Amino acid sequence: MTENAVQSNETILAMRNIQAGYGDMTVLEDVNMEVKRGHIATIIGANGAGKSTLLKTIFGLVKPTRGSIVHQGEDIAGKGTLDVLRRGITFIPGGRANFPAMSVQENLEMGAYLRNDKDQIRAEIDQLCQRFPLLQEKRNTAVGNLSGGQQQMVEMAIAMMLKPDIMLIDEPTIGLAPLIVNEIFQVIQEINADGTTILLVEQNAKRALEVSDHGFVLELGRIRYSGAAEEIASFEEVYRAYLSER
Amino acid sequence: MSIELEIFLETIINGLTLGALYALVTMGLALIFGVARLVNFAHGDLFMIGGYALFVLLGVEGMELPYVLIVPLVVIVTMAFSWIIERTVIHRVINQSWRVHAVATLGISIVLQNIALILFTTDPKQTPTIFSRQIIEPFGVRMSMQRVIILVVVIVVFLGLQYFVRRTKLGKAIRAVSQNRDMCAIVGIDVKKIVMITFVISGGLAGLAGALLAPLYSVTPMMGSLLTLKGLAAVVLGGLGYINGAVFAAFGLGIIEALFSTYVSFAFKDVIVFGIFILFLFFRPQGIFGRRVGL
Repeated sequence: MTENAVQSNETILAMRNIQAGYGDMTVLEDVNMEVKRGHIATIIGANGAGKSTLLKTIFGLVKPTRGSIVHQGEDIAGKGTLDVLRRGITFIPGGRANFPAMSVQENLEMGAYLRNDKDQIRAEIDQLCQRFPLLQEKRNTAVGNLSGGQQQMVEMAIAMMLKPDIMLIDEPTIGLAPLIVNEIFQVIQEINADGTTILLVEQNAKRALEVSDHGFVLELGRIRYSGAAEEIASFEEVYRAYLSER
Repeated sequence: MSIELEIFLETIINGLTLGALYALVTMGLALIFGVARLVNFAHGDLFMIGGYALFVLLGVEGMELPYVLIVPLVVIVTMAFSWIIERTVIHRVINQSWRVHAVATLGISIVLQNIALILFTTDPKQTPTIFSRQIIEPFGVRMSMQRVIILVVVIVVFLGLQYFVRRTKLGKAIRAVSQNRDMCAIVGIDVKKIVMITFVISGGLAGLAGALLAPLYSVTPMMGSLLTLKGLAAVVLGGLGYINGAVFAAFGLGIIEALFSTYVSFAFKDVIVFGIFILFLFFRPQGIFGRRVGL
């Protein structure tokens, strides 16, 4: 866990009694959770628990059937993705979330699609490329030709282009080699150190809780446990279900 | 220059002109297929609308607009028609299956052809311009100035389209939609708006083709039907949704068709185009350049 300069006790995102799903199938039942400004919060849970659906509901891709999602005092439940994006909430979905036949540079430009400050965008892409040498090295390479880990880095950089308040990240390390996994978590910590609040869904629960301030355990669409990441990791039941080497 | 060589060169020039026409039609088809996975069977009818728009604008009494001014007006007219078609039909079916797309665009095609029949009858309309009447003889090869204009315009449009999709924000958004539609929502690209813009641009290209080619032939209500099918053949041969490949295939088909007309049989010239198309479907369905991800 790392501390950044903007961590505070202020709740930046709060979900109250959220119910959501697909058609007649309810995936989330009465979800209540709060995320503090500047924190990294991780949601862990078994496959099918509703972790990805929860992120999609916050981002507006899935409409909740009940409840509220309060971002900085305003209920954003049911708002479209464009509204959510404009409020400074970005989302990196699981799987490949990029434009494969476009170069790294063009992907980053697309990340800033909602912005019109062309010169500033160019300057920020330059800064990002200086900060992450991989982006500079592969700047003119089609993203589809990069390795899985490299593509994940680009996807995080795309999400950074809107200078988000909150970044929702779904399974960023799935299918990646252990060495790359460490790099991805390092980048997540760096993004958080700049002041971006992170809400992370991750199968690698052990590693995710290590870098997080707060943890949530989602089971069958409900928050079963919530607390400081170290505390969550110390629960016997959580340890046995999600953290022990099997 | 020997007569054989002269005939051969004239045939190649005719083939290039024909290829240029197919290329203009194909660019639009490939563009909208790449972005919306829509096979637009009414695309050739937008070409027909371009032909009739030229006929009407050339005949406006008392105005005598110059051809170079009429061509952009024709493009605007076909873009307006495309916009109406997109708003009334296409955007309602765009998220449905290819079967729905096919029925909807075939329906649009039938409606447009019948409106043209009612308004203009089946009589072919002539739209000669000063360029179609002007014959030049570079290196002893006879050709109309209109053919030179077609070739130059197609090259300029092709380069302009390349610049547009590679360099401008809107063009990049069009490519983005063609590559990963789900991701567009993540970065705030309005997919439906991009589909609408692409459809209108695609229609404008068909209209431009109509305005350029009508002076060489004549305008009839059915003039677009065969062209749509040949354009689709070029789109498949070039690799579905790959504009550069489709343009290459269009020029190839134009030249082969012209050579076949001159040296084998004019009556069976369409057989060679669709014969090549069928052979590709059997032996290389991914097209000359293979499958690509988006534009």
